[in-house]
Amino acid sequence: MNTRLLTIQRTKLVFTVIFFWLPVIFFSLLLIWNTIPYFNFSKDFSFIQERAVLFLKPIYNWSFYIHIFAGMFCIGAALLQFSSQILKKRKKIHIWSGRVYVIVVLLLGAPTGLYMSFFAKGSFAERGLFMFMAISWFFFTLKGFTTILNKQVLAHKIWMMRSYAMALTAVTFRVYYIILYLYDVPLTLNYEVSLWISVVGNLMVAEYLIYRKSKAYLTTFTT
Amino acid sequence: MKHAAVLYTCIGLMGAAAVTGFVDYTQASNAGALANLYQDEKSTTGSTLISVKDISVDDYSRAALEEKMIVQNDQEEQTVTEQSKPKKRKKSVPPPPPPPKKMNEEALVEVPPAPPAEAELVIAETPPVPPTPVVEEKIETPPAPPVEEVKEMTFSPRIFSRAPLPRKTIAAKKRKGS
Repeated sequence: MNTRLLTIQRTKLVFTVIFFWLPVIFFSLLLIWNTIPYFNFSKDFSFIQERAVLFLKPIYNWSFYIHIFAGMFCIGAALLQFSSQILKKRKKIHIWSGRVYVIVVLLLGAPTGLYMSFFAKGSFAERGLFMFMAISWFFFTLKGFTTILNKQVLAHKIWMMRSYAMALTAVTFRVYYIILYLYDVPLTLNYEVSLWISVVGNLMVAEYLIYRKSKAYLTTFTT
Repeated sequence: MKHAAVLYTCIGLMGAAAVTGFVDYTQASNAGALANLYQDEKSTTGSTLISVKDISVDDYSRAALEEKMIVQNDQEEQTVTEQSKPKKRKKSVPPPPPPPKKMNEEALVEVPPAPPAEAELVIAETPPVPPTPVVEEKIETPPAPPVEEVKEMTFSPRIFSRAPLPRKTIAAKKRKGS
């Protein structure tokens, strides 16, 4: 191959690592780190105090703790999934972390998220968005799982990218929230806007990456 | 077969979550509890930055507190004067304060001077000490032996090496030591 093309490819790789994967890894680990204190089961957190009435219900209480527990493992496992080095050299790591991701999402994360979405903060539209998130997260992960069982690797990649885009809304939502907060946007509006941007934005980015990757992906997906 | 069981379980869980959520939601809406689900946003929501931002430091400064105290005192005084007006009390004018006493100038002049210190007198009476004659003692020191090649001994890199020193430098060292 032409050396110039090789150089351009390497530069692209470096840029994607610096401007995409490093922030993603950093914020994912930060989210996991901030989740750990919740497991002393104290009610002193502002998130819990705000929803004090809801936490009186045992189902909601357990759903919350199961959901954040699943979220930690889901985000942690997903970080290992998109590394081509791991996929080539350590395939077992990819397989086992993938199993953890699928089980955690399908059995724990998505059902508890769906239950909690009925009582989500915001208007009816935000509740609907949370429901859409839970159902689509479940559906994308389920499709990714079934496609790899049927040895459809390309389709598996596509569905898993969508699933990860949904999982990553937990991270991007907080990033947008902080940015808008710094611009003195009112809290309720900030919450709604950052929620919509994170869900719609993540889906659009995922679709763009899928489209850019290869047209072969799309053809396998449609068939 | 195994995977199918897992999948059906997951789908069942999602269905159960949806049904339970819907039932609880309808119950809460019928009871009218949905409006009070969340606490007041200002008090609880947001990060710690918000609470820090909302605190006004000026309210707790000493100057502000003093101003508040002064204003309160003025208001209290006003209220007291307003209450005391209808009674029409006779004003009792206090007598003017006495003028300060003048200093007695004569007393100041007649103050005797302090006695001279004894130390000064002692110094004056003592006779001057005669200068001691300086005796120059001539010490007969033996002539120092001529030092050879001192520079070579002190600064040559050979000293720091493990190799045996040359005979000349060893002799010079011995002489210096003696």
